[in-house]
Amino acid sequence: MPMNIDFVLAIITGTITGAAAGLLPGIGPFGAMILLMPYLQTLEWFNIVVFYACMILTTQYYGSISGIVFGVPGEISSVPASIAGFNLSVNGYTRQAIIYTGVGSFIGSLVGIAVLLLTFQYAKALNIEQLFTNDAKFITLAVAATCIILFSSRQYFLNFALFTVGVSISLIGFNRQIQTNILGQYAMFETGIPPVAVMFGLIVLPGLVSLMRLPMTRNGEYPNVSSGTVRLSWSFVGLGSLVGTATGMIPGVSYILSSNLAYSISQKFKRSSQNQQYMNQLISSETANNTGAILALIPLMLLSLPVVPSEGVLLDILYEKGILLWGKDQSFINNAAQIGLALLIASTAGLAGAVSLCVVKPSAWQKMVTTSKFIIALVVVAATAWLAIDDGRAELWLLTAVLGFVIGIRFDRVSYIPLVMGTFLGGEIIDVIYKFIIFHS
Amino acid sequence: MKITKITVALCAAMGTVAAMAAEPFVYVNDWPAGGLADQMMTATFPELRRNGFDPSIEYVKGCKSALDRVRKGQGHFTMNSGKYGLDSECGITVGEGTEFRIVSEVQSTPLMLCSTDNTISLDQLKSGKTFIGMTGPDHEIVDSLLASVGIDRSNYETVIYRGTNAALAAIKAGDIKMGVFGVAGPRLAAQGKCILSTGPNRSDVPRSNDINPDSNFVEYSSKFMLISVGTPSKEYVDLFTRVFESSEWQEYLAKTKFMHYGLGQSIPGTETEKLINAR
Repeated sequence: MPMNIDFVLAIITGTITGAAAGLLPGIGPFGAMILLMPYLQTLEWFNIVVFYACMILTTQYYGSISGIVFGVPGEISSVPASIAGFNLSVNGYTRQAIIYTGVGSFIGSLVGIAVLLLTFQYAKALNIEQLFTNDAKFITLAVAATCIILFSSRQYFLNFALFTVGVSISLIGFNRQIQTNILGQYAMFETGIPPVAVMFGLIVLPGLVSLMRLPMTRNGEYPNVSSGTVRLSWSFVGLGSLVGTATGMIPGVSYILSSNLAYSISQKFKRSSQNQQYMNQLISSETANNTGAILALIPLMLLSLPVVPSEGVLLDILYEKGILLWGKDQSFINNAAQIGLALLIASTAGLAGAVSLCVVKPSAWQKMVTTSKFIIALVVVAATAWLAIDDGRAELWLLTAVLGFVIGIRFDRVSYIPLVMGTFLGGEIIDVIYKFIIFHS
Repeated sequence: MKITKITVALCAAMGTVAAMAAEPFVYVNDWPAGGLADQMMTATFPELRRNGFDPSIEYVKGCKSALDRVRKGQGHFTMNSGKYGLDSECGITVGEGTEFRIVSEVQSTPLMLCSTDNTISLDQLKSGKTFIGMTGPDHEIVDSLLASVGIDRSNYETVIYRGTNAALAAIKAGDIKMGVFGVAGPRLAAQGKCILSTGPNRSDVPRSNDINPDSNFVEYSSKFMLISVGTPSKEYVDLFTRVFESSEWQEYLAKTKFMHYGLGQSIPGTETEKLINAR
């Protein structure tokens, strides 16, 4: 594929779109792909994939910023940033949280790019198809679910119960695989409960309430700013890269599992300082996020297998243009250098963005949050309402959000990550169990 | 007085503009954007516009939600697939004394039993147990197809996948041996191997030598355009007869090579004809 002006434009537009999709809560890579469909259809097929790769990577950089500064996750993969990152912000470490996240994400991206290029180089010898057997997916998901239950908090039984509730919620609606129809006789529940609505009710809305109640000084700054130091721990960058590499290619869950799993595992390694603990959790989850997002491109490019919803939209756009990625694996392998270069440029742009945000003083961040918190809440609720209306099931989103909010506020000390992840992973877990039984019975 | 006259004139002008504005015509679609249902609906747009309508597509999740909209008069038509509009997931019925009527039936690409593995053959299916991937709820058609070439149900097990790509990846991974494909079938026939088809090969599809040329089995996967039974026939019968005669619709059929049975175009005595004309 020629490295012409169209290729460069695809990198630039992908990177800018990723930054916008990450910063604006509720848009995400999926929404961005749908909104930009008319533009993408004008590009050559290889450049559409390059655009997508740059966008998905840059989204990971900027998606964490709204979580760190405002405590509001744009998507499920940013939940750790909205918990650990926002706690750091409230304690006066906004600047460190952003820059260390940027560095961790950059390292995670480099690891991801290296794994991607090595996989392309040795695709035939590795027999990569074998990584996608149902048994392999079954084992990986079982390990991931166990880690989430064991590491999210010390309340193992509660974690297990919450995870089970999450999986049960995902069973609502018509399930074609196992031919169940739980509450599916009601049109509202027919296609199941959206995990994002569960996250919105349990985590985002209570988070907004906390934001409203945030104590502040007369100057609009946070009163409980710590004076201790927090540092970037390379071992947690390594942990994040490892988790991202192990989970990024899992169909259906990919980098969303990567970030939440890395967050849960790093919770287990206690540090003397609470702020350092938050920082380690933030760094590992954001590093895993980026490694996972790049590895999610491997099954897409080599096997035409979409592992996250936004990749499904990408395949639809290509199909509309009469292009099937199936059989194009050699094109990707032959142009691995170009793909690596595009990802490297997007990563560097993400890091540069994080560094440039560091010129903002911590007090300025705090004043911005405290003076604009009502606007932030309004934007988040409006963006979610837009998602709900676009989804066509506004009443279901409302019901789920209200129910989640009541529970989230009433039991505000509980970690709801196992429940949200159970809801998100439930469909995949049921799917692999269904196939496991068929193949082994 | 002058102000009153101006107001009356303005109101009259606005009324005229409102009367001239195109009437909204909403298709309700629970299939993915850009898919077959979408393309069918879009092909009717030009003639609908010429008849004073402003057509659009509203995407909803789930067939029950889609049918509910049409039932409540919030949309004009919706799509459903399966055999004569009876879909086990939606549980709807069409025809005399029921909720919906068929306006149009499009028989799309035949389903094909294919693999990326060029060594597959019908003989493999006759011994042992083979796992066959599927992406839709067309079990009955597949069972009938395999039975037509003497393959017993005990020789295979069907496994449902979420989309063609997932099924293809499972073939490559070795979980399943082959899969039943619609749209991807023709391309697989060119790049892999297809051994059975639910219909005659299309002229634009590379022929796979192993597809049984003597099979009399013909069964298509259809998409139906449905309308609520409460809609007065004068509101759509003439309109859609014109739509199906329009050059754009004919071009669409010529391009896709789909077979179509719609208002004024059904084959007398067939099941579809009875359902289309049941009013």
